Amino acid sequence: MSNPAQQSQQRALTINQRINEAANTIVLEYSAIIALAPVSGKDRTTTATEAYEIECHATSIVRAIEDLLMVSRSLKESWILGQVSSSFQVGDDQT
Amino acid sequence: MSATSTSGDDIFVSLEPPPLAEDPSQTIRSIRNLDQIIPQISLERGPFINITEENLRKEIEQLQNRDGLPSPEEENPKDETTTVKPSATDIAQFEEDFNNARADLSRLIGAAQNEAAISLDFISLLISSVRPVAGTTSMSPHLKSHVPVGSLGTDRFRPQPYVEDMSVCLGWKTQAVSAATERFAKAAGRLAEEAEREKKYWEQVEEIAVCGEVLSKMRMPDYRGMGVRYGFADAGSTYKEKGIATLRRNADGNLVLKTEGEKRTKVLSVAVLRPLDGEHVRTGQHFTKINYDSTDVKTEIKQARDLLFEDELFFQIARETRILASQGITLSFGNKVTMPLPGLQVVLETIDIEDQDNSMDVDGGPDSVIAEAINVALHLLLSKLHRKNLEARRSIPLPLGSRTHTADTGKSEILEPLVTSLAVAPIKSSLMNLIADLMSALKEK
Repeated sequence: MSNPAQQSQQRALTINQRINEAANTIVLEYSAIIALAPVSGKDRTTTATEAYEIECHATSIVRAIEDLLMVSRSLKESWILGQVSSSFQVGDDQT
Repeated sequence: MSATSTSGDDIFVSLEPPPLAEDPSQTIRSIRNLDQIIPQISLERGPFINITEENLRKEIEQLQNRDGLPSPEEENPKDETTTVKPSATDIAQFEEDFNNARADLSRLIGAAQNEAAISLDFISLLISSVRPVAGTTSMSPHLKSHVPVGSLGTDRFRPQPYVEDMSVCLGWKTQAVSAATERFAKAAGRLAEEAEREKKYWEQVEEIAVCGEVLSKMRMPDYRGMGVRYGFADAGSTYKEKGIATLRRNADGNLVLKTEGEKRTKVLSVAVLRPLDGEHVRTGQHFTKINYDSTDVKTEIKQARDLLFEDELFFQIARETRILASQGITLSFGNKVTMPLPGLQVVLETIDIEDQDNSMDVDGGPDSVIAEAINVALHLLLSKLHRKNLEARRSIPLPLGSRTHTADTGKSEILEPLVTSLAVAPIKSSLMNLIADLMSALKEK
């Protein structure tokens, strides 16, 4: 039963990890697409397979971005439940 | 150690430094990493299968005879002052290293055996497509049960002489790249919309949160999102009701409140009847009006809360009619409680607020003020009951022996005070009259 401070630390760590992973994926996949782009010196089979690979990389980039959207959603959830230490305090402004 | 490979014109040279030479001050050779020794051995002497103890012994003898060197255990004799016999700690260290090395070795052998079995399965699956009998006999039972026989095939592929077809390749590449671009553009638009909707949803959730509602994260199997508590369990209610509603997001980003089960519609109504010409005539009625517009989520939450309160109120009332049956209170049709009191009759029942027929004679009758007062009193008494439950929960529980009778029937907390307060005046006056008559009768004597 970890106390709230530990829990929020754990959460912060996970969120940072996810963000880093997603950013890494995006950069890596994009550079992979660029690397696969040149067309000289390859025969047809290779080109066909590379076309498919480009498609796969594009899909994983989109998926990484959707993951970032999920991260923002979980951040909002934690924020509204008061688990984020910030200046937002529910009910304090109404007096 | 370096390795060369002649694929094409490239020569690969490993940049790993060779393993460090033996520390000459050590009298006992410690077991070096197996990772370094084993590949070295296999490079120098070929596969392990060719190495036997006999061969090793012969080699050692040859080495000794040829070079005239002392046996390998005494590599560096140095001077006599160094201990020839290894110390106890060295032996312990050596043994520990040895055991670790042996454990490592058996683990690596197990892994190798595993890999050999897997390769065997692979090859037998390949063969089984051509020669089923030979394949199935060497396949493991696990593989046979999971993969149908003959489902993997091979073909020989002769790499074509290099055909560089610029037009086709260029066309395919540009197609692929433009398809990727289009996918990105579409995804960008879609995700921007999604982000907009999320923003709207969370703004609305924040509105609710700011009003002081209790939100929670729901982890039900079919819904993971925000939920809001509209029940009274925190206030002391013991009604069997979860009291939590989900805040869902519909297609255009708006907040939709959804309560569990069917939506409640019943409201308690109090009617006062007076005897007139032998019959009881309704002279006043009152019920809480709950407006049923469902646009604003905050009013929806309040509505759910109020309806839950009414529900619980009638539940308690119905339960207490049994306790107060001796007073003449009856329950009929499951939703109508009649309380005959001296001078008037009070009827409590649940009505449907969707039913607009009752809007007729609501505020008309002369006794509607009494009806309203009774209604308000009942609500207050239920709140008092909640608070009493809360106090009971907070207090220190009695020791186990004295809790012999649980409050199954319990006291009547809601109807009894009402009945007593309504009936006490007429009863008191009739009692006073009786006593006055008796006294006057006695005085005359």
